Amino acid sequence: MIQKRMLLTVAAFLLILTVIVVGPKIKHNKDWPRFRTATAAETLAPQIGYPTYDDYWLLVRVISGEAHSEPYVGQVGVGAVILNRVKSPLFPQSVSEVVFEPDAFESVSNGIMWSLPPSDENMTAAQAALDGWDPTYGALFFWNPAKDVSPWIWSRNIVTAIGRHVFGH
Amino acid sequence: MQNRRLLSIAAVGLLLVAGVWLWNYNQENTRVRNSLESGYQRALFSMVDHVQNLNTLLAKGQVIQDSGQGVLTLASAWHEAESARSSLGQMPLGRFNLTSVQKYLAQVGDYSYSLARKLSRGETLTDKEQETLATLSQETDKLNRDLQTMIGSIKSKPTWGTKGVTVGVKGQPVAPAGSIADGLGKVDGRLKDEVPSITYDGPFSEHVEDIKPRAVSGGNITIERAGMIAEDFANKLGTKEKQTYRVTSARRVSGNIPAYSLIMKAEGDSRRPDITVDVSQTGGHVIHMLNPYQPGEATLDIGTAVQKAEEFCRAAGYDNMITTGSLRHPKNLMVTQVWQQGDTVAYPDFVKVTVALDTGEITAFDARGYLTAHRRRDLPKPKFTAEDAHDKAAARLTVDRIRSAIIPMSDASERFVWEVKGRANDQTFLIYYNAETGDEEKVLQVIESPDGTYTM
Repeated sequence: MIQKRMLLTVAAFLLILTVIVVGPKIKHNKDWPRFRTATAAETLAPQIGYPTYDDYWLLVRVISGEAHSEPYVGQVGVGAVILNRVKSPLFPQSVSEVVFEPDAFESVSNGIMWSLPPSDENMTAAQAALDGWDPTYGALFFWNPAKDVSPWIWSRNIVTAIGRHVFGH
Repeated sequence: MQNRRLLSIAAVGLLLVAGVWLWNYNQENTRVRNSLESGYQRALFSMVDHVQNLNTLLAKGQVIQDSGQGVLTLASAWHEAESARSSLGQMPLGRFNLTSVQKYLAQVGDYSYSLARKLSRGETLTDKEQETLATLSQETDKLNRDLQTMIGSIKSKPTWGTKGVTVGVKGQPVAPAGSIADGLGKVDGRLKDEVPSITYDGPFSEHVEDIKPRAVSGGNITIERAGMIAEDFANKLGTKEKQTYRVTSARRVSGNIPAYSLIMKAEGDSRRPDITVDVSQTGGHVIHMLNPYQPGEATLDIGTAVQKAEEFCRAAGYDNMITTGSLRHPKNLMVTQVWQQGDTVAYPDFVKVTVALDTGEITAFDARGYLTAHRRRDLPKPKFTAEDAHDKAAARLTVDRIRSAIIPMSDASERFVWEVKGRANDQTFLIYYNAETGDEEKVLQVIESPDGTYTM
């Protein structure tokens, strides 16, 4: 009788193990809508620096991780901050280097950037930021005052607050 | 009895399994941490390497006399500075404010590049430029020594200072003494205090950040007046059911163009998302508008959408604009319109309009470019004529069109040019010749795709 129970326990244990190991792989495979084109920051206006498809996806991911359900303008703002950093001498010079600068963005550090499927609005927001919209007027930082932030951040010049985020430079 | 034995065997077995698993886990953990750490260490040592190379190149740059050698040396200096910046951005220092090192390296590189460009045009460096180069060389030498000392003092595995951070003056995070963050923090502070600000013709020059918007004029307006302007603007957007938008909330925004940001609701349609319109506090210009509307299936053709954008711009008070390009996204089209002074296309004076490809309504508008750059310019009579431009270009391509234009440069200055559109090897190019000197200011390749026209 007890042996039977033990067998059952072992079986249950194995089942739990399987779920833990395989689970994350089958959790979600929501198809992302496909975008057809690379983007240009300034169409035909002779400017340098053309963001590409990979920049677009990185932006979508960070906007989703950092501002998933923020107001639309706030989502565009987060995208704009990343692009403002790329243009600024104070930060590295490409979207990937800015996004993956260690400890720069919380959703990159904790992995939420890759686990939260982006919404349609997140994607439109990334597109708008790449097309040059910047509701933050050149902000280089954004932070959520409700969270544990470095007190230093409040010494920045604040431009505006949108949704839960404060934007500044 | 037997049951008990079985149970204890099972318990011992489980413990054994758990022990092996824990040991493996720990091993794996250490391996992963080391691999991550070595990435950081590689970045640190690379940065130090690049700064050392930069230092040597800048020292050489001061004694080189031949321009060919000078171009090579200074362009290499730019490359080393950029590589050093890139390495710096890969270290786990994101929470510390080490922006002065980044900025210093960016400016040194940018400045070297600007001098290299000058030499490549056959010009010589002025005394002032030589002097700035000497100053930067001395600063880089100090930076190099600091870094070498820091590296030299690392006796065992470098600590980054991410643990045990305390709060210093102005809330600045302070890393524990002896850590890399601490060492670089001191270097950062010194650079911030010592390095003079430099102005030159590159994008990282100090003057670029301080550009004042040129077309924002008029008296200060009240927030109520801004609301009226925004409502008037919103009701030109051409929404399908001709909704009327009303301001529901407003806030002040203190960017380089101080503004009121107004959030508006569509009257009688709660499903329509709120739109945001920013109106400048000076003069009441609409700076931008964003509408989170997600268009349905695209039914409009590009031509009709461009026409909608043009009509909207006219209604919003922009005259003498021509469409210079459009870019198709899956459900909307972004159209760029540029102001024309006579026959001259003033590219810096642009507005951008996004049209939804289902209803044809305007979902985004941006006039920051126009408000920053727009003015009537004094255009000299070209010394280098359209015929000269044609002849120069015809040697390399089949010329399709020549028009006069003003183009923005990376340091926010402008050039009065001839824009030559032509074809070579089945590819289309835009070449810009300075209308004064005939120099080639810029060459762009035009990519025509079903999604729109853009340049590389």
